[in-house]
Amino acid sequence: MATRQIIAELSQRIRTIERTGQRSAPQTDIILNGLQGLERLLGEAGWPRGCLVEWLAEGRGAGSTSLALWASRAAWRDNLLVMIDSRRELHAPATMPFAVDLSRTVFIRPEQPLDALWSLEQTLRTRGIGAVVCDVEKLSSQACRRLQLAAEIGGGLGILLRPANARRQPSFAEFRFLVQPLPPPNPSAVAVSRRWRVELLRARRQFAQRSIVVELSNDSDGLCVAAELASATPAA
Amino acid sequence: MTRMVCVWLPNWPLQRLRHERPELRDRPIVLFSNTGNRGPRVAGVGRALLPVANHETGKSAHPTTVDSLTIGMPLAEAEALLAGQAVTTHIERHDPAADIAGLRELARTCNSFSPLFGIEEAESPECVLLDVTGCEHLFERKMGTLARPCSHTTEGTGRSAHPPFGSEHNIVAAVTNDFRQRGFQVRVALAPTIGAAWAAAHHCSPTPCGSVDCRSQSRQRLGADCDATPISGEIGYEAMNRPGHKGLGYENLAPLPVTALRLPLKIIETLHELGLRRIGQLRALPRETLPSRFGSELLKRLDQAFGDAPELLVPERPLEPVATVWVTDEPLTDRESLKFVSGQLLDELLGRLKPRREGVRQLFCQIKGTAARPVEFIVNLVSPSDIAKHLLELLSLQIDRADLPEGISFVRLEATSIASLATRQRDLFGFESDADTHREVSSLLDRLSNRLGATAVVRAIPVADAQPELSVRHEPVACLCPENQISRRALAPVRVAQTGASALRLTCETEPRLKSRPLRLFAPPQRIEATAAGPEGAPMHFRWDRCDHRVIRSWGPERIETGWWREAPICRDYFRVETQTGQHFWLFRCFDQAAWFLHGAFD
Repeated sequence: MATRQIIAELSQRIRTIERTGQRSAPQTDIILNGLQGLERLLGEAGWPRGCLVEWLAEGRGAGSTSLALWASRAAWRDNLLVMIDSRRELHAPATMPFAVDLSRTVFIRPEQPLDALWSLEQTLRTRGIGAVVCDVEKLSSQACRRLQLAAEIGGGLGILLRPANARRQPSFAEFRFLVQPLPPPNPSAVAVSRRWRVELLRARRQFAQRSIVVELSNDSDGLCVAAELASATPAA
Repeated sequence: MTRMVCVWLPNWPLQRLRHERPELRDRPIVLFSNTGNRGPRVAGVGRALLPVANHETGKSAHPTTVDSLTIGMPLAEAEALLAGQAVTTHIERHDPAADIAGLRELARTCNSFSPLFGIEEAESPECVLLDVTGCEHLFERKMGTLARPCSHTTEGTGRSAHPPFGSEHNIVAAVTNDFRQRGFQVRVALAPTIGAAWAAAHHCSPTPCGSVDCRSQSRQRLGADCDATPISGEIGYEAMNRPGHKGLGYENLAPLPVTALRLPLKIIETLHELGLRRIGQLRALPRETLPSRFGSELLKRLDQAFGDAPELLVPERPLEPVATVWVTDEPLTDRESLKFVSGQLLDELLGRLKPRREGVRQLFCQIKGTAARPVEFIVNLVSPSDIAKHLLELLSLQIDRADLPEGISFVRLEATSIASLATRQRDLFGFESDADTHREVSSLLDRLSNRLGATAVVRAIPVADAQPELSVRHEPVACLCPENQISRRALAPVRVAQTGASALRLTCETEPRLKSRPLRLFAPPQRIEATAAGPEGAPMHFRWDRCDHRVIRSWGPERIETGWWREAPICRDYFRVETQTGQHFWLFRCFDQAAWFLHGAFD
């Protein structure tokens, strides 16, 4: 028990060293992770406040938005959610199963990519915003650094949805996940079911496990995403 | 000699509701309030103004039931009585503050009759008061032309042709006409004092009024709608000042009931117990004995009605535009100096608003240069602000984007919408409070809407519509309707727009289809080449975004069809498909065009 406590204290100290400047008060509270099993990749029970998370996926319809929304849905429980939708294709009613309260959600629909980046930085910098969701195609490392600093000031969660080819670009994000669809477990099932491998490409700290398998079943009591414990792959 | 006009709007809360929402005119209204701890009680009942005939019996459908309600009965009982009626009754909570605000607003529209206007001072005021002393000469024209008073007087020769009080008669007629044309029921009276005018307006009715019921006079004045007979203002006037009657007209007060004195219900009950029903009877009593027997209120009201004690009219001030102008001979050339000038104008503007404790919600900016057309833009705010730095930042965002004329020589700023600032109390040690983050958020939304345009910063409001692309409506966050204001913690609750008769609250529980809708919906749907298994079957293969997609699983079809009465009715069979790469798409077969479309992606 004592060793675990020491490890927790040490990781807290590493975190405060990693944080730049004195602007970010040592916030011990975290945003609870909503995706069961993901904590093995995160190293703790949730997302630290004021961090950027990148979700990469190949092509649209791969499911990274669903997973990102589901995993961070605790972030907009008490606060505003901002969705920056420069392609104007997010369907607001479909976000409601992800605990999104549309009365406390603002959609920003900029026309220029530069405006989207500006809005993202402005929003991340603001306290009182629970989370910002944004499609980001290209991001220079300088811009990424600015976003990360803005998130540290604001204390919200920055969720960047990016194409898979962004994995070669450098990043200042706290976590970078790659979502890969897997063949369905039982192809003959009538209900909709999906399965993904969520791979942790990058994190500030290294963890033993690098990927988990996540399954979605559209059963009667709502959208349910649960990790399949047995098929978790160990680190390579 | 002062001359006061009292405009009584009987049952003002009901009249206000009908005036603000004309659709309620043909429906009965029930108002309720939560006074005391005995649950909601009926506070006011109004019949429908236009009787709606019941088609089956041919009779008027509602009066029997609405009339059977009494003031003060539990709301639940009233609802039970009203259940099963052909015409649904509108039930609403009584809002006294809105009533007073509405009456003030109404009073401000009366500045064409008199420079001094206000509302009566009472717990639930229903009267607009006008001081028309010395205004008679403005109304000397014939009555027919008097929809509005004219500002020029006629020649002095015309004056003698009118009866002594003829021009005053015209005032009353003009006021009455004006209110009637706006759809209000009024009784108007003109008298030397506020008290006498009030008494005449309330109690000199065209029909001979018998003993006046106490109840109608007390705080339950909000009660049942008054009788259907047209209320005539002029008669009230004539009762006070008969043509040819040269006196002040106070003796006309004597036959009026004691309720005309604006007394509390308790005093009136006492007076009735003693058999004192008329004002004249009260005047006959020795004056010194009145305060000890009935309290000082009675004597004060009596004196006010007869002009022995002063009563002040608290005037409403007309709202004047708050604007500042900067003009120069030396034209400006660059944006930086324009921003500096705007900053100075803003400081001046906010300095004027500061004593009123109000902030700007909408700012109108006009810039003129050598070009003929001035540049104009509007800065909208999510919540009122009095912080010059914030407003200047928003202005600068617009100035940076605007196409400025050359040689700017005129800048004008006007606060076109003003609202009172929410007062905030800081923590003792200046810690961040909820209000601080709230202010930060609204300032963020202001900045976003002013740089990206109001239509780019929106809230989504679900609409109960089967057609997926029409099932959501986007409303700008920074627009002036109060429903859209950001409340303390969050945005105001979204009301689901209604398309049918019944209100629908869209949640995941009530709307299981939400779970089967894609997170990304392409607008408009993208036409694709697809091969399907049979004319009704699921797609097998399609090409989109320069990729071939082979379908390995599919769910559906889900038929979505809208009625022929729509402008563009649809008939589509939707399939959810999984491709060999594991992506999930939403395709549909359009029967009209016999083609396949990609409508969304389950991302």
